[in-house]
Amino acid sequence: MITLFKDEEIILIQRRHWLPFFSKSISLLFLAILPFIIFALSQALPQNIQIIFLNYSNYYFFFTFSLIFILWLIFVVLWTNYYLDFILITNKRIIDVEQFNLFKRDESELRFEDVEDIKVEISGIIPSLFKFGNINIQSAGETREIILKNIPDPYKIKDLVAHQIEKNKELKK
Amino acid sequence: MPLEIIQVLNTLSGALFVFLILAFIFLSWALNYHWNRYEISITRTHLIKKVYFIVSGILLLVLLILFLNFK
Repeated sequence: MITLFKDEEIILIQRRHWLPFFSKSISLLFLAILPFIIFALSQALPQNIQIIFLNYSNYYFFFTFSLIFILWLIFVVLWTNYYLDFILITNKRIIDVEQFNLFKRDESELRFEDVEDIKVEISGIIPSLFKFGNINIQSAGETREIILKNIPDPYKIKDLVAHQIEKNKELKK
Repeated sequence: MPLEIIQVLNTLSGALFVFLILAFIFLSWALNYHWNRYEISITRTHLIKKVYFIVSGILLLVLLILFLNFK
């Protein structure tokens, strides 16, 4: 749970890009539809195989719906990992929350005064097309480096962080 | 249908059904913990829970009907 300081304000909550989550979801959807496709195709098979499918259809659909239920649970876990994985930019710091799975969660933070360098990295055809990438923030503090992964429009976030750093410097003067 | 195959399928489906119920209970507990503890918006948490339990409930009901159908 993230606790903000007294005079701290949230400027932006940014989730990771939806594409990696979407591609996993599509695979799950395909797996869920597959048993129905197999059942439909079984009608084109020789009659003795058709009879086996029809005789055991109750069991077939029970196992099919069991698979769908398992895929649904996997989908909810994936969605939760996606949904609870975000970066939070406040007027004082950047908080990176990485939800790897239900039993591994990592929270790291970086104060603006410790930031030394910000780099944006967009590598690959798909990240370039969909405009998402990593933001690498080097620091002088205890946390040497924070990599914000799969961030949509990373240049905009980089500009926002740079702007906040400048603002903080001016306030300290 | 050969009786041995039916017995094996009945045992398998019974065990699978119990496993699914247990997996559902465990995951619901783990997911609820995460949604309540780490979610930022409370109203959205309620909506997420509603959708999760309604869809899971429907799927479990379908499974139960199918299970009772061949028992």
